[in-house]
Amino acid sequence: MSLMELKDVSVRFDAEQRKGAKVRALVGLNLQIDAGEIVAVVGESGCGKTTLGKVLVDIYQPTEGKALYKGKDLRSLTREEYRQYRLGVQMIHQDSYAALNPNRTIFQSLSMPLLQHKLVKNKNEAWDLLSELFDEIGLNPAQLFLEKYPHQLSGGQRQRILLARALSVKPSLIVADEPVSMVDVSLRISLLDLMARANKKYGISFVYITHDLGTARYIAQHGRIAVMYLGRMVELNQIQAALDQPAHPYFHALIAAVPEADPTLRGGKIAQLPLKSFDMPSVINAPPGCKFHPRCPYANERCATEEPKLREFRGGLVACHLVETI
Amino acid sequence: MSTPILEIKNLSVDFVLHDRKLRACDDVSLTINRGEIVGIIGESGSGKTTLASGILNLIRAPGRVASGEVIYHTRDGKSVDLRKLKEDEFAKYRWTNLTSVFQAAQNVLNPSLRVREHFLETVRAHEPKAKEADVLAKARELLSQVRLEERVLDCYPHQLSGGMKQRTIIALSLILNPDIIFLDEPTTALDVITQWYIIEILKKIQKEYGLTMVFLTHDVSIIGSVVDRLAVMYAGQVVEFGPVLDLFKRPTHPYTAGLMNAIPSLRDDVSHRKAIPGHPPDLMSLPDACRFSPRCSHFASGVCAGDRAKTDTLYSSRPDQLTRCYSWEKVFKS
Repeated sequence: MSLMELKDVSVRFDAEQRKGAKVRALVGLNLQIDAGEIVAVVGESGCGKTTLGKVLVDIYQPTEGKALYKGKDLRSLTREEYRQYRLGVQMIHQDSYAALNPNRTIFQSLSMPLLQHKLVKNKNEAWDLLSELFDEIGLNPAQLFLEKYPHQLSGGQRQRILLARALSVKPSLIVADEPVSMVDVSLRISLLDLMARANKKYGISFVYITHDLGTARYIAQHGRIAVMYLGRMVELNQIQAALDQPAHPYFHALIAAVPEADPTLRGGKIAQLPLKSFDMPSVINAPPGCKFHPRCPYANERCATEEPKLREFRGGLVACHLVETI
Repeated sequence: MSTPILEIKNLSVDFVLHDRKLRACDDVSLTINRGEIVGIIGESGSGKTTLASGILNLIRAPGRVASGEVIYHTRDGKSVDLRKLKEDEFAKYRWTNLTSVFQAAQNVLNPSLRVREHFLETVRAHEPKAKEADVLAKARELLSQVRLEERVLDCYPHQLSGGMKQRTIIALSLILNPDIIFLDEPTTALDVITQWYIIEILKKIQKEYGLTMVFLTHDVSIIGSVVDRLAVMYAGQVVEFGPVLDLFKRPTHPYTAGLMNAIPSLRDDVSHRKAIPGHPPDLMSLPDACRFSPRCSHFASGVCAGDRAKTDTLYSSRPDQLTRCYSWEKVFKS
């Protein structure tokens, strides 16, 4: 039994501009997350990766399909089981400034869930627990940080505090939505290292949502990667295998677009991306057939009419009719 | 190739806060040559944007330029000190000679004006007698350069995607034939594919028009393969400046070395990647030693004493390469 499972999950939102139109943010998505696993979810903005994260933490409820925690549908959990689930699955947000209450000190913000869930008896215990945790994630001296307000801290420090907040309730899964995209390059790796260490030490599973393949590869070295496009999962594989031999044409393009810092490492000059068009189609009128076919250089008539299903290919899953020939 | 277009000499910018002074940009000297692409990298708060604002005369209270010269060499061989110009005189140079695409440029467009009006307004501010048809013809040409269709002219900004807006702004910034363009985080908040596309467009435009470009960004991976020379800023100072390949392969400042080692990439071995410990210093309470010393392993191990006075100047470590680390020979022996 996997820790968390999404079964045929679809999420639809009402479109703002047009009455009656629906935005299909997620379509028939299946994903299993095992205990102690790191899964990276990548894709362009608007591909549904944040919606996926929010379904995992039950901020959005699936319109169709279900989300299972330890084999049980979230909607059929008892009150106590749901409480356990809420503690067990935590989220780290992208914007660390928006995620912390500006009117409360870090201690006030972080001790609340501990007291609320009776994980500690009183404020003194909460203080001790948080101090220990802060030492561990490199916020020394802890006392200094616990008494501060969010605006007194730098972005990297706030992001560490969000990680500490997620860790403080001893979760089994952390959903990290672009946790380092607003952090300076020189500090990104240290945050990723902290997450990798929490994964090793406590066996916490991570779902790492990002559009940056470099950091995805860094944190999920032994994990899996899921590539999303317009609300659908188009590829799922072990990360190193996927990067070495990308199967889906969209993933090819995504990898080719990643800038390589080192001028000599950039694999030759890529004159053109393997894409026909650079703009994403609208989510409201998604094209028929394979959602990627208007941009895909390999597409044929079949792609324009029939939507490919995820199927096994070279040990992973891929949704493409022509993957064998590419 | 090596005729200078812009010489920045000892530029310092102060912000006055509660009668304390914060020097966001400290004694920066850089020479930018005509037709080259220069990258300026540094963490947030390192003074990149302040430097660009200082050059473009955009510093507003409580900030003020404390000292320095910015000498601009025009196409026909004249030299002008931009710092000595009055506001209305400077306005003649802005957009026609020096132009900028600033961070979060997507929000630069006026939401209640069509794209065509942005082009018309910009041109008319400089050439009141410009004919509408001429301006629009030029606008069409530029839009096709950034691979946008003509219909964009009749769109309002909200009808365009983030990448399209960014490209519109790049086209807009070129309408008056500038010869130097400042790009402050031109691709932040854009997707990898859009980002790749915009960088390609910029490279092409640079070649075709012989523009000089200055990229400011915190993410060196974006510009590593684009720029000719790279300046690294730390806590308001330029700590290293030189050809991009040398800075990657043979850095002579510990901060540059650390930065180059901190980027997760797709191709090489990730196990060698290491973050720079600590945090950037608070500019209000700088260490009484080398500014990088609290994060520098060579200072911690005693190889370098981090003498503050000695870091006031830049040292020439190799031909064309400058560093602020006076112990670079000891630190980078091999």
